[in-house]
Amino acid sequence: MEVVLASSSVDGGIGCWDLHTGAEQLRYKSCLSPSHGLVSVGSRFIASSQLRETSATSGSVLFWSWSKPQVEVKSFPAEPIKPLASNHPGTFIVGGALSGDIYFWEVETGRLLKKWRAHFRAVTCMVFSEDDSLLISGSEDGTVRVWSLFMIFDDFRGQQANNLYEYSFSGHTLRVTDVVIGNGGCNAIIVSASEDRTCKVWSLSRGTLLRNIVFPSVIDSIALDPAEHVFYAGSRDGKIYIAALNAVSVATNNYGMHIIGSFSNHSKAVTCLAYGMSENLLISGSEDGMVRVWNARTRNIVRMFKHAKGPVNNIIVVRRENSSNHISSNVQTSSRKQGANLPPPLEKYANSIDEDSDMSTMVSLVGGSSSVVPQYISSQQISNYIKELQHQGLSAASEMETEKLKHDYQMSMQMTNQWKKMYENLNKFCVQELLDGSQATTLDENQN
Amino acid sequence: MAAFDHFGNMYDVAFKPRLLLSIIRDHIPDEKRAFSSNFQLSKVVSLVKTHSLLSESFLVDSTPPKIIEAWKSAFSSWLNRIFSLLSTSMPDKRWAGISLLGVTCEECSSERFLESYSVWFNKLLAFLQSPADSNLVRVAACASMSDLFLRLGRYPKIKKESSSCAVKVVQPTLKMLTDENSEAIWDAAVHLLCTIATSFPFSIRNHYDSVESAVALKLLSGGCSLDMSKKLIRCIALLPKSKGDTESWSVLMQKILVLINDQLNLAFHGLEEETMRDSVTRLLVLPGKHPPPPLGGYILAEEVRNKASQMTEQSLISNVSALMLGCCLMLTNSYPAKVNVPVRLLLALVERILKVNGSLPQMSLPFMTAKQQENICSELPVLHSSSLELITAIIKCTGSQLLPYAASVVRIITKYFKTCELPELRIKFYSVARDLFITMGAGMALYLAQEVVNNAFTDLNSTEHMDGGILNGSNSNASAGAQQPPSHRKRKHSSATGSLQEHDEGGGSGVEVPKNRPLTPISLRIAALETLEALLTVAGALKSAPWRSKLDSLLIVIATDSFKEGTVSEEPAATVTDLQLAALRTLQASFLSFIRERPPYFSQGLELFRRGKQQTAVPKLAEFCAHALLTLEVLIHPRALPLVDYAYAVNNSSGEAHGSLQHEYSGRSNSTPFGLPQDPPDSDDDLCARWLETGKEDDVSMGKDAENNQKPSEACRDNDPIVLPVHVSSDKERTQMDSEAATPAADVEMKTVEDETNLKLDQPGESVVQFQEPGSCTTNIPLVEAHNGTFDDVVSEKILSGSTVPHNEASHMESDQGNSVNEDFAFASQSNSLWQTTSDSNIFQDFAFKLDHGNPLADEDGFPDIVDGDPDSDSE
Repeated sequence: MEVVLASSSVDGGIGCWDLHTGAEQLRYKSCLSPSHGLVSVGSRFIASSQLRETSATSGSVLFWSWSKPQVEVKSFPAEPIKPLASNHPGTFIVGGALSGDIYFWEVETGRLLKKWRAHFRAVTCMVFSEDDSLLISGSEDGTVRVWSLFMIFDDFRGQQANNLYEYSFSGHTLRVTDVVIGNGGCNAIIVSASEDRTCKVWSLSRGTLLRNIVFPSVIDSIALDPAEHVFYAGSRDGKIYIAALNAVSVATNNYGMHIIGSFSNHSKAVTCLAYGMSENLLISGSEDGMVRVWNARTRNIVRMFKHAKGPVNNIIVVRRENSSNHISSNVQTSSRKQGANLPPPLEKYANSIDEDSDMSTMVSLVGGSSSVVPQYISSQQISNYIKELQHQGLSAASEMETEKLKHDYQMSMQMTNQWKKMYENLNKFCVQELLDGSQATTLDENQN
Repeated sequence: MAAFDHFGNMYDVAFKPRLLLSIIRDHIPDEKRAFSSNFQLSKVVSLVKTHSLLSESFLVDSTPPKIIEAWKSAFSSWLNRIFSLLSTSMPDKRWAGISLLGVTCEECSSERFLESYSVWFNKLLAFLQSPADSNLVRVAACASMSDLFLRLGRYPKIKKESSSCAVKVVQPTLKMLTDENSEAIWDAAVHLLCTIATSFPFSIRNHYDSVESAVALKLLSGGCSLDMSKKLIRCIALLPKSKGDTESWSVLMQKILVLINDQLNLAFHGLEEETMRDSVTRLLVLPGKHPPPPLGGYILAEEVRNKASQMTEQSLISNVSALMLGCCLMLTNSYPAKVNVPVRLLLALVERILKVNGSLPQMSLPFMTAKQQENICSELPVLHSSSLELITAIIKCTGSQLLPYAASVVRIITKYFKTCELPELRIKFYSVARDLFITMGAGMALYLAQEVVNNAFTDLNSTEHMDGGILNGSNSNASAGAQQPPSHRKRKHSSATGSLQEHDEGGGSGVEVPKNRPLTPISLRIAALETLEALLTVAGALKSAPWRSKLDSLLIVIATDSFKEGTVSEEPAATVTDLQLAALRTLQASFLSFIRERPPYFSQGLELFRRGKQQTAVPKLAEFCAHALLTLEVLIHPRALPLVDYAYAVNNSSGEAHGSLQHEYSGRSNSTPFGLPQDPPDSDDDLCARWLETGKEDDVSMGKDAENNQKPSEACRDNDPIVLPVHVSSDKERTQMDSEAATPAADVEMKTVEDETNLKLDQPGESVVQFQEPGSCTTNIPLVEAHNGTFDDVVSEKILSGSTVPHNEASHMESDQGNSVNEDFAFASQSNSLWQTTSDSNIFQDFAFKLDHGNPLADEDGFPDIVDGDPDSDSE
């Protein structure tokens, strides 16, 4: 089941719809998410950062399980967190703070594993690379940075190197509004959007700017066509622009270079975009509180979901396993179980990790190796035994054994003979002695 | 049974009961008749299995009841015979009966099994409990019992009953394990315990401690074979499943680790520094916590400790490696609850072991004899090997969560890989590196790449026979390091420019093997190649400049060599093929991971793959080469196909648009300048389209000329509006025209320009004069520049697309004005050719631009909104 989740900066909860049937699912309550602050953690649960007031000195991160509308876990990080991201298996959550720091939590234990200074100003958006080994972050200071997480965790190398980051792209002059990364491992492209009305395409392998696209208006969100033929850019003027990547780009038209076209049905700014994999659906959220589902091919609206009065600012598409947690009224027990499955809250501070104390990692061991799968053995055993019997008659080992026994036998026969001989000799000797003795005595007696 | 009661064929159901009866009659002994031959029994088993004689499976509808009856009775007589065998006093007949009962458990139908398993269970249990029987019988009873439980595990509905059966078995099995003294019996008993622990884990819960101590006793008291101790530790590793909670897993893990640590303390005494030992011990038992009870209980521990002091280093170390296998199994077996894996502790342990290489620290020299050192060194490779396996298990089990520890794993690998010299261990190092690449991705590969490449160079270089002689002198580090021996550099050049012939010429020297350098075993070379393949796959293009070119030249040399090595090598053919496969795989990965430039040895590589494909005698190789040619074809004919099925979209959704446009069209002009071809190339088939275009080139342009000549300006004026952009841009930029079409104004403009162009092209000289007049609207200049720019871009990227149509469509929607897509396309393909002819010469190119400058002048009246959006577009 592919579901669309939408949240807003005004409390309308998190709306959830089945993308294919259009049926509304549970509405998860009390969520005031900033942009890029809604994430599905490995499809296991929903997490969202919260920012009640923009000037607040503290924020929170909330977790919802799929089956319950209420917030189940609340965490209070040390400073307000805006963007959230999670790696694909859902084992880590990263949060970008207003100060420009990035927080790195382990989901299972809630431990704050790392915190590092990433940008000079607030982090606005973050995304994990396809293989989860790189993190790309955009900031209000206009930089986009690529981090190797391995480097982040290698204190030794980190101290040696000048910069923790792999690349720092500073092409944007204003706040970066969105960053996405495409397919292709280390050959992927990164597309970033900024308030300076440009989108820039970067090469991950070369670390260079590949393309700069100037839009008529500020782009707030980007969605990549999965084939990376084009990307869609949701703009503040209410249009969704189509910009060329692999597609043949166009020299001139109404909009500018590389912009192939646009379509629109939004009266107000497009704030967020997402792409539904299974049917080529483009999903857009708008400031008017509507979520529109477009057929990417015909550019017709397929569905519309009314989310809230306020602007929608996050949309994610999540593929959920058609699991046991069907939304029905009588699954109280199972939902309680679900709740128990949620991880503990994220920690506020990193525990000073003593070198000696062992940090253990919570792991679920599933899909064990095949080595332990027991097998039927009786028939195997029969053939083994028969083989053994077969070998008994003719095996070299038994021949050797016989030879050895024969040899032993000979040895002991010799030994016996020797003993026998010795005994006989002794006997003879004794008898002779005795005879001699008696002869002597008789002689003596005779003499006497 | 009637003599002529024939049946259909070998699949006929009627055949099965017959065969079963004959088997019972002829091949199975009974109380009176002895075995005619032992081999008959295996014949029976194979017949029963092949024809599934005990399955009683038939189609209920189509099978006559007579046959069903017959099969049923045959089965009953089979069982009766087994039972009668069980009740004899001859051990070999009882053995046969028990074993056949086990086979029956495996083979019979579900109904039959559920109906009678309890009877069978009781019979088997009796044999397990009677100590009087011969070992053979009891071993068979264990095996059959294990089969029974395995089958029982498949019926969760009767879990309660079957668990209670399982509970009854545990005690007698333990008794066998402790009382008997034959390894065959231990083996069978342990297997039975493992089956129960996997299928009915909770039935052992009450006997947890006794099982643990019984098995641990066998393991630690020594004297059992390596194979046996592996089975024993496997059984221990399964034990926590009987409780199934996080705690008991951790406790067992800690118990094992404590034991390993103790034994290592004894074995490594005097060989290591105290600090290493202390750090592991500190991690092992956290301050303020009690250590867990020792494995197998206190009494056993006492015994073991007493014994251990007298044990030789060999047996100590073989115990340790068995225990480490236990850790690996615990990490990789599935477990119902989440577990806490003490990764840091495990890594510390691994490092402690890898650190010991048998050299004696200065201070302990007086306390150790050379004999002791010899003993320990003889066993160290086993220990190192199991510690590397432990790393592999850690990587497997933690997956992405290894991240916080990844740095220490990499540090361990880089530190000890270099110094390791035994091929077996190096293979393990390679496999760990490979796992790391795949699990941790590009971010990790950035840091481990150089190390792996260095090591792979040392291992693979020795196969470079041609400069082997020179390589001898330089030690392995030098050849792997940044500075390559000059010979290598030379080779790189020669192989870069040259080629297969060169290698073929050198074929004679292929036999030469460096003299004072041991030949790297093929398995090690395969491991090195596979690791390189993983590296190239994950991060072949990411900051790979320092090692990439060296690596590529090495790979092509190895791959080329591999094609002739088969004839001279004395290694078994299979491994040679494996090496060849590994080399070609790596070569393929290296080709595919190029992005900056054409792979330098691409043509040689293709040639190799082609040769490999012809070697049909080695199916694996031919298969892979065929696959490689398929994947590499994309490099030759690059394409970026859009995800959306654009052709489909056109046919479907813009149908009306098409129609209406036709109308509009004919409204504007009644005549189309040239006949529209009715079947434009399929827009989805991009490659095909391109080929068709170039093929058409001549006649189309000629046709066009002809048309133009006939009705020079008027015809052109009414030409399809969208042709021009295609003229100006390359054939790959069809999309352009579509977006041009987005605004009606642009359409008109284009139309006119098109006219001019056509004219111009027909009579170049004139047009230059005509259109070089200034006063052109400046807004159009950017257009030209942009064209130019994109043209270059696109050509260099070699990106093609069939995306024309959807963009069209987009523009239709935007402008609410339909357009005839098919027609567009036809024009595109025709006019493209025009452009192509012109683009050959610079003059013509200039021309086109000039035309663009000129065109607004020429047709000022036709189009109000030329300026639209253009200034923006040239700002980049």
